[in-house]
Amino acid sequence: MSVSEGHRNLNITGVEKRFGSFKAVDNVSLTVERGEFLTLLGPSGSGKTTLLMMIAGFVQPDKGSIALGAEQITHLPPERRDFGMVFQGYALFPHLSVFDNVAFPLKVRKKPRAEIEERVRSALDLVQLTAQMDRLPRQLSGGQQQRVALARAMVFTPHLLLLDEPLSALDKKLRAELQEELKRLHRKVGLTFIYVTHDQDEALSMSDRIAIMRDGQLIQHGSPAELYENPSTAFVADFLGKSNFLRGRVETHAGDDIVFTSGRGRFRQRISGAKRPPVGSEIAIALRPEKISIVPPGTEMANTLTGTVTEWNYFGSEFRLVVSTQSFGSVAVAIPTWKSGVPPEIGQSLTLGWDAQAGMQVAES
Amino acid sequence: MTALVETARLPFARRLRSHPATRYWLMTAPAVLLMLVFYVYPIGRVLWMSITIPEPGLDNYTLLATSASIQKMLWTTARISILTTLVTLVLAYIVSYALVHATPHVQRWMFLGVVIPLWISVLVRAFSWFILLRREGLINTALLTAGIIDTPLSLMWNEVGVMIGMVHFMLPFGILPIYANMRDIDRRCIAAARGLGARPFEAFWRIFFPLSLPGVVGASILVFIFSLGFFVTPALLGGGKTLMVAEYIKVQILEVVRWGVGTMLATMLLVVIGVLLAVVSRVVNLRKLFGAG
Repeated sequence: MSVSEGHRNLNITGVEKRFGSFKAVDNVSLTVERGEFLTLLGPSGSGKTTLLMMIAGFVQPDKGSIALGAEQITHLPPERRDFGMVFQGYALFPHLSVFDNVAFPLKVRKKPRAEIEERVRSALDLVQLTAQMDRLPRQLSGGQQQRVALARAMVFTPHLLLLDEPLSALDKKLRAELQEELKRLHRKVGLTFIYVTHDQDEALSMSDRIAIMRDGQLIQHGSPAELYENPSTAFVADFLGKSNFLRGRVETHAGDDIVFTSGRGRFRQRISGAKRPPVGSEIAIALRPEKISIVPPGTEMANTLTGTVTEWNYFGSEFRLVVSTQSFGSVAVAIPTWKSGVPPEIGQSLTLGWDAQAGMQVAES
Repeated sequence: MTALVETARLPFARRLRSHPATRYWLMTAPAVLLMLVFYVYPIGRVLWMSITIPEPGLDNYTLLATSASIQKMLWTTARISILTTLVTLVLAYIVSYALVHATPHVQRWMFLGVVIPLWISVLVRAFSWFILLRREGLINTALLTAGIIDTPLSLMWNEVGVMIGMVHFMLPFGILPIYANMRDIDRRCIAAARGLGARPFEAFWRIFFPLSLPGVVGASILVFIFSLGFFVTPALLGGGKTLMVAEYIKVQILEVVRWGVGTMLATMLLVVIGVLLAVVSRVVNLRKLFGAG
């Protein structure tokens, strides 16, 4: 094994992969900082798994390059990259005990027996599975198998850890537990994690940085808060959390705000500086359901809108309503239960209000 | 007349209704009867004859310890069966490995190649080998004209010929269990092994090969048991010089009319196969191996 001299950045430059006429990954460039927890997020078929497989070395890019620090690894076979990987479904070796599964990467690296013994024990210790050392994978629960896969992927101190939807096979509660555990592990070992998922909640809660993919392209990347608060496109706004899209035509500029119209309504949105669209142009504003509140009729506010409730659902901590409006059709609203006052009723008409800063201008597509 | 039949049938029918189990027994009765008459009875007779002909006692069985010709024949049978099984396994493993890794389109054609020989009579296949293996056959002629050999190789009327023919016959029985097992091996395990630092051969040797062993064990029992009792191919390609147990039994019964010796050897064959299956069933799940789920 090449001794990892600290962990280095992973530089992905313009990689592309076609399967026949299908472009699975299209000109993706991305730098993964050492020690960071990066999530590749996208719907199925967005190319996130193909990108991960190219990083791991199982798929060869048609174009572009992948480098670890200064070292080119684009065409290096997987076994010479020293990347740990946790597969979807774990891919534990069914005929080997937990100990031998975890020892495998060390055995193929011809480590002395005593060192193997010691490192496997400490890796199993890390995931709290020392007691199950002699069991076979099929004798373990799903969560335990997942932890064996993790221990196996980390025992040889890889340059980075690749995780392909590692929690997708688990039930919701166990998932939440393991998310916590993964985060804790990440902080503890300081290893670079590249994590693939289609679950936006998982991505938001775990990552230092999220890269959102769609149709093989990298749409936007940044910290979870950045992406949530400043999505660049309607797709990102809708994929990371839910959004309403308010579409209209810019009527005037008023101070820091623009005024746009849709149907019979006029609305204000804070957009200043270079991103400000010219008067007369079409714009799309993403508005999170939780940024809308129910206000008494006639309230003075930047934006108000009346409508009738067509649907409502109780979620314990919040009500989620769908309100039918003249200007924007159906608008989703989320109100904390303790704030709602009266339980809403289908057919009830009410007034919605939101601030000029509440929305975010997004590009269509 | 009809009334008479009806009344006669009634108590019987009522009895059937009151005992559902009897009904099931009756349904299987024809099959059970068939087995008893055409299978259990003749085998019982064979066992009986082996200890009664020419006179009651175990004289026939002492021949196993005393007769040099029988010992030589049994040794030949064991040697040829073991070698055939080994060669078949190696070839079957390679073919199965190629099969599971082939694209679906190529796989269809390969399967056809595996299965078609099963449809051709074993006699026809043995005679086809004549054409290839004879002294003036295709292989010898080709090698001679190419100048690779000076004198024709003796490829038949000996153990080599017998083994070529037998391996050819046994291949599908080796390939199918091994292929079935390999198909169920999770390919991600191999990818995982590579990702964890194993070179392609190491990933095969440490992961794929151990996982494919149950199929290999299954195939080896199947092929070995078939080989032990093989008759047509050794008789034809061995040319009477390579005597295996099945042909020896035939000669004893049909030519020298020593029913006692023939049936004793048949009994031995049955016992050996029974013991083999019993031993192997402790290691692998036979029902699963032969497709009973």
